[in-house]
Amino acid sequence: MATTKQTHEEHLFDFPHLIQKFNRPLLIEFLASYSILFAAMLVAVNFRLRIPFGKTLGDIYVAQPPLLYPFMIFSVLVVTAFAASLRGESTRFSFSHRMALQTFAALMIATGFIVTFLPDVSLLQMAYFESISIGFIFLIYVLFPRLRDPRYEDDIQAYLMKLYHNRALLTLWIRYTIRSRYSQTFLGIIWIIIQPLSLSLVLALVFGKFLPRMDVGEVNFVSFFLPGFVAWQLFSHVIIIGTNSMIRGMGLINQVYFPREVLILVHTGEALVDLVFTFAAMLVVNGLVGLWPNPAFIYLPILIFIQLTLMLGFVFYLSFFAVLIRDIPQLIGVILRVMFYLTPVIYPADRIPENLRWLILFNPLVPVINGYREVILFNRPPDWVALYYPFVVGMILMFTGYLYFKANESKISDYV
Amino acid sequence: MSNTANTKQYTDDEIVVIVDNVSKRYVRNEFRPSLRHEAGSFIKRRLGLSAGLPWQSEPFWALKDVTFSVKRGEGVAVVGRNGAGKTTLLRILTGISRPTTGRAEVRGRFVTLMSLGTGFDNERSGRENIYLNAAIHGFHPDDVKDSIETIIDFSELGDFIDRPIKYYSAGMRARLGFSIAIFTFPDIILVDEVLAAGDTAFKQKCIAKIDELRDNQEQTIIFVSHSDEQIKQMCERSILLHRGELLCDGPTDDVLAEYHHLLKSDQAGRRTVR
Repeated sequence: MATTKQTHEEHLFDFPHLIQKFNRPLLIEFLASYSILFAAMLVAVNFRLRIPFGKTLGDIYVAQPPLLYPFMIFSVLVVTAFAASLRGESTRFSFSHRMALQTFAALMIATGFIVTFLPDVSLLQMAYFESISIGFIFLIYVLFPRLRDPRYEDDIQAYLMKLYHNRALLTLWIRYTIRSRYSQTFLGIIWIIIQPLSLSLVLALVFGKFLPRMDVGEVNFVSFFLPGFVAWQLFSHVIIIGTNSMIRGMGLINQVYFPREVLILVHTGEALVDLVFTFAAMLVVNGLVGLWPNPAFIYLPILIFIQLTLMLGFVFYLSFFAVLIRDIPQLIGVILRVMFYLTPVIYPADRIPENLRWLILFNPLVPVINGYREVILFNRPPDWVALYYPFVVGMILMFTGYLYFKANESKISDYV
Repeated sequence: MSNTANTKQYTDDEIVVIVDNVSKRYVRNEFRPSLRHEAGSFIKRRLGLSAGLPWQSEPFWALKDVTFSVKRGEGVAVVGRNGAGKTTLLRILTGISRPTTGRAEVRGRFVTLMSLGTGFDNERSGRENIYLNAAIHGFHPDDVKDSIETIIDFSELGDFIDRPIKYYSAGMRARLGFSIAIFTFPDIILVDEVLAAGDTAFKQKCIAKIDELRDNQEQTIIFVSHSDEQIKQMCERSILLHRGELLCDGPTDDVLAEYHHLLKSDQAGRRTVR
């Protein structure tokens, strides 16, 4: 490790060389530096301009780039100090002047980039960038250095190879679980469909007759509600089952080794099969009121993929947390219940007053659910700019979560 | 190829199991950590009021500096009193758990028999469970397809094989589990006291079969047991663990003699203390 760092000292700004060698720590440091800069810039923008949510930044921001420098430098210092304070035996990461130099180089490049290419973004998008950066910084500087066990050559290729080797287990297990589930109960599939349908009927009654002032736009309430709720149901089901998966599988985990993420993936696969049935039921209901499947349905796989990355990302972290701290599943239950009402599932997002929209600002599920609605109800492609945030958050969560999960996998059986 | 705990390639392919200075520390959980305790202790540690976590009262070393290696085709028994670290050693070899320090490695396809019938899906038939169980041990259904009739024959289940596992008796489950483990033809079998279950006739049949496989295919076996008879029958080499330390390693007869000596002296020691 020491020798590779030595050689790279000479190639500090030699990007092709870096990429060619794919020295991960160094590359990650660079990415981290960029993230810091974004975060700092966004904090600065928030402080300096206090622009109401949703408006573009426009000329004022472009005119004031020098003001960003002090904020950026301050923010870099804060993060570095924080990370350095955590340096110890457990943090296999060292800070050097090389790091500072890199950061400064990145500062220069990034400022130019920001000023040239990003003059016209809404504060919403800014906030998205900001939250991504902060999460990323935390992961890179605090979490990851603590994870790797130097005795094992753990990396993502090795993990994926092992998972590929056990693909038969995954498919067999999913097949058997689903067959058991649908063969056992008398009504089988019906039970899975009944939940969204009954709830949507009750809500239609409440919002249609009791509270008639609720206006969801051009469509009737049930059609409006179902796409969001089907997506939400998938999300909450995977999160709850996935969080409990390690605890429930403890018997097996203590007896035999197999890649533990198989347990999570089995439950996710099961939930996706359920989704097929609920989705079909939703199409039938929509057909009754004259909404037929439309060409925009080709965008659905993208939306489902983004949602999948988000769900798996959360579950990879939560399933291990739940092993450590047994309160986590209960806590997740409460949070999900609250989030159901704070996510625009039973109401459109634009019904939230402007001054309260920060409540949904950081919720990565909101753009996804809006996307489902656009596609299913209005035959329109989803808002790609808005989907950027859940996509990046989902990818980062899934990637880092998988590494985190795998790094801690062998500890699961120690916490019986 | 299979569930290998190893990551590095070695030139010497004679050695299939390496245990190199392995120590394992368990932290005794005095009470189950919950969010309340976690938050409380976090604040205390930050304020410098407490050095460690409150429930981490005393670390417990289940294994201390254990070193040995096993060659291809060897049969090794691990003996020791309860709590000597036998199961911990097996868990580390299989990759269920990782050593605190040191390195353990198993090269080749192996099957673990910690308890028979783990991973059976109660709703599914015995036949389907053969595939599932093999998959849990890391074998693809295609690997098992050819030997499925042999497995059914060997397990003496007959017509029961197409009935759901939930109607099986404990003995039937054990027979099925053991048959699957043997007839996936792993390079290494790791057995943890599972042969204690099941009737004597089936036990003898299993031991005979393992002996046969070892003769023909150079199978390696690591066997944890309390039964002198079975150990003598299957393993020519033994390892004695005592309170996490490797006391001796050698021919089965010598090690077993040492083990009985240890048992006696322990009992004598206990009497004098009283």
